[in-house]
Amino acid sequence: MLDMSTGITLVRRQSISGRLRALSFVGGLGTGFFITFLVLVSSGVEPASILNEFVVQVFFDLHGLAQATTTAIPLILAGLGAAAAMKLRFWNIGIEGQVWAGAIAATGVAFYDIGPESIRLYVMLLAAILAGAAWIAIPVFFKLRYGVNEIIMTLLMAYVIFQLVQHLLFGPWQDPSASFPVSPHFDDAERLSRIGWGAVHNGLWVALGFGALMWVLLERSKFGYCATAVGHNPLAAKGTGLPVITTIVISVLLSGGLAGLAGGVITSGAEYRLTQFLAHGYTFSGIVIAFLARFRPALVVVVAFLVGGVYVAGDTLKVFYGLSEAIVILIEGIILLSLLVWEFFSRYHIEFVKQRVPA
Amino acid sequence: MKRFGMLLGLALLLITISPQAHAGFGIEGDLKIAYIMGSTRQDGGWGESHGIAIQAIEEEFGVDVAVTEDVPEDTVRVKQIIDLYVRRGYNIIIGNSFGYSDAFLEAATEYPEVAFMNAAGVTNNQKNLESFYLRTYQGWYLAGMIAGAKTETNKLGMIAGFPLGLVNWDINAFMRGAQEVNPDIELAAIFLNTWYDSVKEGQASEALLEQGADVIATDLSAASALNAAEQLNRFSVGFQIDMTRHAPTGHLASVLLVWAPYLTDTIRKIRAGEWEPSEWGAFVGIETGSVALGGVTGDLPDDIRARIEEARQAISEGKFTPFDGPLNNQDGDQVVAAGESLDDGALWQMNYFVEGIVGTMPASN
Repeated sequence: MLDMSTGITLVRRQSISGRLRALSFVGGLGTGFFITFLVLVSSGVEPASILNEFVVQVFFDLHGLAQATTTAIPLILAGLGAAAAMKLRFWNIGIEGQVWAGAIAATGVAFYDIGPESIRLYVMLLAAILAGAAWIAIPVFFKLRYGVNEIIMTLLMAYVIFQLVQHLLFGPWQDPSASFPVSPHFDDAERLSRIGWGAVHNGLWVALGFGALMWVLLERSKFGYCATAVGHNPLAAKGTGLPVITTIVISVLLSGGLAGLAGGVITSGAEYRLTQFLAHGYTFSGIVIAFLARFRPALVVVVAFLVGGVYVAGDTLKVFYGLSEAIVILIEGIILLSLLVWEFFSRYHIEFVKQRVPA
Repeated sequence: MKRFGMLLGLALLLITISPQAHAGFGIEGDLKIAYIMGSTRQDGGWGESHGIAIQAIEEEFGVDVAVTEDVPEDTVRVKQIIDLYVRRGYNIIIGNSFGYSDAFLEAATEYPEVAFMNAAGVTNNQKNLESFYLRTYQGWYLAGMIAGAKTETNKLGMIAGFPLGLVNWDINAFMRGAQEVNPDIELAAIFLNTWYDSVKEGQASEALLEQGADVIATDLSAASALNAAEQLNRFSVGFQIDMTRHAPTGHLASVLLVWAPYLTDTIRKIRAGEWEPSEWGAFVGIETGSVALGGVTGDLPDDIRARIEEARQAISEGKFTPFDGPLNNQDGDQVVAAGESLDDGALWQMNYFVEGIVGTMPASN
């Protein structure tokens, strides 16, 4: 006697066509938006208001657009940073730590008045880049030398540097006039000036400039080719004689540097001082943006801008519809997850096999 | 001579413009009030004390106050949330975090027709902006008198957040009040470097109880400090709201933050067009009922009760402050001479413990 049972197996596709790839991306986004829509409607937001708050008020309103752009500036840099490392499958989960490093360095330059005032801002931003790169250099070293897992190390390093931030703010850098843990305000020469449109500041050009630079580097240069090869298969890349280690080191240092620059831009363009809160949330948003943009710099800029819009719309939902602070993270998570699920099914297809099981 | 002429001109100018200067700030149209909070109205402490004030405002003015909770101390976001309210017609915006200060200042200059108030803020000096805070140390002094009278081990314990002026004055005033009724008393104070951590607050309290303290005072929000004392049948002192419910038998008193008197009074002035924000911000206390004791134990000797009432009166009338000299710091050095007192600036800068407190003030501060 034979018992028939049905099994399900996942079979990896030999090759994924461009059409399938595009379909999975659009399908993932569509599913994500649809679930988001359901979540919002079930929390009591009118369907018509969703369109109004997410699209009209944010992207077709000069004021909303300015808010989205302001929010997007550090997100672009954090997203570029995340993309630079993750493209090579170096999982930088400590973006917040590097943002803190950059914020500390920029504040340090301002606090100790390093360099002439005419170039002080440049010194601050440069210091932010170097500090972010230096902070990630530690996990890079331990990974390459001792094989220490970078996920754990970058993550934990973010907690370490937050302790340093607290030490500085409750100690030597505390603003004597504030009685609270913040550094003194920066001087005018240490602030990125506003461009005259909402709160948008010159950090926008910095972010767009680095977006262009990363585009050239990753998509139009030999280095970018190496990075792609290493990301796909480091062993094969090594076998063909590509400088794998150098490529990883440069990319990951760039990743830390860009995240550090985000910290520099937040301090000099938005907060004008070091606070205990300014880096919160950038790891998650940076990773979401990098993933949605497929690690491509030009797309990172676009996606960061859209995520900035989601933040602005999220604030409106929070303020006028009583939704919680978590709503933005929830929306980001839903969209990211549905993209990943669709991508998974573009790589694998399901086969139902009937198995004969001897009794 | 030239200077004299200038002064004369200035005086004349002041005389001529003084009627307008008295007019003060007001808003047009109906009250539309929004409250931006760093935590929630049910957080058991800071946010809940503001929630009580929101209810008082709604009852007094017959309006619904729009509330946004859990707004992080991020200048760009706070400003954007204010923008949203102002653009939809709100004309009184109230915040409750120090970290909102810069956003409130920016908004006050950008929207001169809107009134802004921020609790624990530090930005001021605009015709439509006032930061406000409470003289919490006055309440802690009175609570200290109760604790000093009730302790049997002569050891008090207190847990607190961060070593900042507005925290240190609570600890020091608590000690001064206890010393007033019980000169042999000792107070152990611990900073936990957090504003809310239920587990840490409980552990620190247990440690203080183990060292022999029989009164635990908390300058924080979690219930765990009071629970820890209650379990060992010891006494406790709460903060921000009436915490009796966490320790029904051992609760001696809670130092209450009462925001409603300042807020309702200010909103009334704004409605009448008579609001004149202080250049330095509002700093109110027991005299307006903005700081008070709640849930005071019924089990107090009559003479102590009378002395507390006497002290409350004296503080209220400005005849006495908890930091009148002579006042020595922890190391025995005199910080305030006899016959003198601390001014507000010195209060905000308070970076030492007073004599009799066991505990370490972080040196770098």
